[in-house]
Amino acid sequence: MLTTQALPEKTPNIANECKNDAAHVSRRARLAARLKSAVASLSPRGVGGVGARRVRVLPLITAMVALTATTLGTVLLPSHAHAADRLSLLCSADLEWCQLMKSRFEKETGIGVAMIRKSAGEALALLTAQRARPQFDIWWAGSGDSHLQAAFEGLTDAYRSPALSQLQPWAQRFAQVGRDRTVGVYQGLLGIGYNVAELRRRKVDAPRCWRDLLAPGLKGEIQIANPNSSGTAYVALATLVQLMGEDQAFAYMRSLNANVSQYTATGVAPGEAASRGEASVAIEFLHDLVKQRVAGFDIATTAPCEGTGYEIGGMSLVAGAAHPAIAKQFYDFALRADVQSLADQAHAYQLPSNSQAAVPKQAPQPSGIKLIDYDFARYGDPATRKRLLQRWNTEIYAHAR
Amino acid sequence: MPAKPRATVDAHAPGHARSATSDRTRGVDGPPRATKSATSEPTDIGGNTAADANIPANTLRMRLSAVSPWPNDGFTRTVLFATVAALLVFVVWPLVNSSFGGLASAWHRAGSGVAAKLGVLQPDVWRLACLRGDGVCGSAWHTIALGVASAVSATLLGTALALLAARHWLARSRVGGALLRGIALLPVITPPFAVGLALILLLGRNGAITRGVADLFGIPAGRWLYGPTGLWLAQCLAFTPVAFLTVLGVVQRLPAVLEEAAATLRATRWQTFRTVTLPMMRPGLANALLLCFIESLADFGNPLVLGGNFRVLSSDLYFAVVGAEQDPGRAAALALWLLLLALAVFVLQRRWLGERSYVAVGGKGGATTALPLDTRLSWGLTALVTPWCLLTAAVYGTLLAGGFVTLWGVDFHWTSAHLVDVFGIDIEGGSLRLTGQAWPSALETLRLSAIAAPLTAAAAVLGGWLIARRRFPGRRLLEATLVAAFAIPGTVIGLAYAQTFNAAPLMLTGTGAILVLSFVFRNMPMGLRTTVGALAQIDPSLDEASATLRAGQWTTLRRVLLPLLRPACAAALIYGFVRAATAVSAVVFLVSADHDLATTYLIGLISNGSYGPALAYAGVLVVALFVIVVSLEGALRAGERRLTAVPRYPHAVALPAKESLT
Repeated sequence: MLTTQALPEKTPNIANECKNDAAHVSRRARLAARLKSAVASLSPRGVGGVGARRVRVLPLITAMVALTATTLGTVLLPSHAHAADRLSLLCSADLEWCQLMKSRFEKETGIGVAMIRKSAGEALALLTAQRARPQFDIWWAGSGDSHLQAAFEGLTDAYRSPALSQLQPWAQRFAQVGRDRTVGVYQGLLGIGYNVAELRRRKVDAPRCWRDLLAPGLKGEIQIANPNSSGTAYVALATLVQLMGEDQAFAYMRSLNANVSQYTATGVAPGEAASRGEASVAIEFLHDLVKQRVAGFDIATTAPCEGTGYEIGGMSLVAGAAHPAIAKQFYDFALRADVQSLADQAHAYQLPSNSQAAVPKQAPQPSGIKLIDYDFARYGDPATRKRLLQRWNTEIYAHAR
Repeated sequence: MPAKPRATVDAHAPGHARSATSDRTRGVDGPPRATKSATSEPTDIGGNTAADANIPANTLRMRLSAVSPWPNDGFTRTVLFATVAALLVFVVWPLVNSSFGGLASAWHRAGSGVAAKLGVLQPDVWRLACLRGDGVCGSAWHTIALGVASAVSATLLGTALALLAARHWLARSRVGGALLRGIALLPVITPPFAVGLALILLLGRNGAITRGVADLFGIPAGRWLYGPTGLWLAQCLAFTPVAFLTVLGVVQRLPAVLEEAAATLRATRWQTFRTVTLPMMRPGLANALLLCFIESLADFGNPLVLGGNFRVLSSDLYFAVVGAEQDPGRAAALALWLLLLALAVFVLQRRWLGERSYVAVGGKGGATTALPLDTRLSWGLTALVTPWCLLTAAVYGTLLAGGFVTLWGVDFHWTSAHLVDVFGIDIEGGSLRLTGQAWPSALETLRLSAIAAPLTAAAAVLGGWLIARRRFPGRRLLEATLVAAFAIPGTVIGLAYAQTFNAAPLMLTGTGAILVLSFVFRNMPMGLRTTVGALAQIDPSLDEASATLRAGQWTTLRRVLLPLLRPACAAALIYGFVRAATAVSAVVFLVSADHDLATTYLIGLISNGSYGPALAYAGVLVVALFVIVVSLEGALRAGERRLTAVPRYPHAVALPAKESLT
């Protein structure tokens, strides 16, 4: 066949068949060959042939099977927290402080600590979800309201530590309210923080009292959290109610509404906004505001002159924990004076609950501050909380800017 | 129906690309009923299965199996069973266990009377007080408004980017194309809160751009960023790559031959675009709209940072779970509303797509290169995407720079202390020690994402093939369940997993497996939608051709469909990896001390107020993910470069097609 010599080396099958013996190639075989080459040619390799395809896909499948097997093999091994002798710590303070407590405990006792950091609300939700078989042994730090709620719901165990007598009166009262299912580890005072440069630019005097916040010069310059989502703001709401009486407090907050630019979702957001100049004044816990100042932002703090409230950081043993003995060891460890004095190293400026512990230098000194006698039992009660929040939603938030 | 003789003739005739203008009603997915018998009842050519006295036994069996609606081949049955079982165990059971439990207890606790019982469903999220002028509207309305706005604008931008990337002469060059695709993919890598923070640093009241504009033009700085506008902007930024990936695969597969036909009929390029190209792109557009809307529904980080007083369902739900008023019943009710919204959009999308055929890849090759875009159109698209590209570059530039600044807003001195703090390496005495605080979580994130990505891609492709190409009772229900699995808020599914898999028979809390599973089941539906859209464009006659050559379903999938689905596979793989690495709301409740993730660690750093280390961490994470994504995309596209070669054998029947075919 002379015509084939004009064709290049690699010719399609059908041409080869022509070359051999055209007459004997059946119509059906030709059709089949045509379809095959049509399908094969649609792949990106073109007429390179289907053989090349096979090599490509098989390693992929092998790799996938291998990966699945690896996953099932290594990743499904039983968790260490349940097997070996390790303390499973649920920590609701700032990351730095959590890491400090963990490393200190490990160094002192040689027992490993598996630490997970969660905000107080998330921690409570997780403990509730895992009620049947808790993943954690002990819950340290976090707003006392959440610890009280956990105590009321039976998620925590009662325990009286030998260090209880060394604690401040407010910490012991807190333990009583929680029926020894929880204890106070620190106290955080509520206060006002402001951006010095911003206020100077707007020619407004620095606020010193709650009533100073109603000044017209501060219109749209104040931020505070939403009490539905933030424990900080709920403490502020309850504080104002206890200071002024409920109706007076709500009238005050209605007037404050005009000056509030945003009810933030988290408790620390107002301080962050004031630090960056997005707002001028923040109503928040003083230790968070001091932390911003220590970091280098131009924030000054003050405690309101009429009086202010506070939160208590709690600690609770988880009911049904896997390692109750080690948990009690950590419980006693966390209430010791020398351990509580370490908070300064972790940039935590709350007031420690052990009366012999050192108060950090930058922390707000309680001597010059007028504190109310915060009623945890009453304002931690779910019914009161629900009623106050409902009232706040309809009277205040509905008319927010 | 007297279908068979016609069917066999059609199967062997030179196939023609069935276009949208064909007037034969066919399902978008699945072979037409006319040819169904050809695949399920292989008889000899021109044969009959009329009821004769001398029917062989196997023909009778085949006839009986043809009557059954269930698939009759082993591979499809296995895949169907595995999919349904996996969905039941890992999606339906945890939800029923936790959310409906919460709803049921709330129902019991609610007072008697219809109003009290109905209150369990939280009707306050649907209140219309803003229309009366005296209050705020319910968060459900906010969610819908924001979702629609974000979906439409993200789809618009993504389509513009896809058209430019595929058809514009500048984008076809290697550098230009790589740059465009790089910028388009960058916002997919969104560490939580980091982009919101970067936007505040740029556009907040005290932001760099705001202050610059105030100095230059005298416009006073305001707080416009906090609220629906800022939220919409952040979501536009974040979701355009999703639309881009979805639409790009569709655009690359458009049949150029139809556009050429329109040109030969003297249509201008604009007319061709409007009447031929755009309608053919519908599956891609529809999927992009659906995906972006659902992403907006489930968006958790942006409303927290930029939402201001504008409440949406996802943040309401989070605070119902962890807020001061712990109310799991409310959370369950809000999750139900979210799911209903997602399903409503899914139903609307199906209505819009209808039963028309969008097939683009037929049995015959010989397609040519696509026509370039109409000039004014391409200028318009460029004008549309340029601001978005600039904003993306600015935001990510800020993110990267923020890690090297001592204290953003106060002290702008360059420092590498933050980087050393998070990713420090100590090389002393020949041994390498990782001293940075972020190494464990970063390495664990990469490891788990690398495990989850191929599993996600495999599940997406198999699931998409099952839904698009196979018929069985409950197919639409399965598709709807998969859409729902995508739309479930991460908070809900995270808590559900933490509660359900905390005891025998599946004790998974505290392991890495629970994280991998949550990744796979949350990210698989996106790849699945892309695969379904891509399969809509592939002519079922290819499946039939393969079946006539006696290939089973598995062989067909492997050797015919998978090569054509390569862009969809690539998208599923890349998306699965990146979403696993940046997942936030679902993993908050699932991380453990041994398996900590980058995102939760970042949240911890930010709540601690350590912005320098947090920005450094976020910057390194973005760069690492970007490198991985770009190399994955390059590797997966490696084969496609060859298609631009000129065909070597013009006399052969069907030859290497151009880009538009694969």
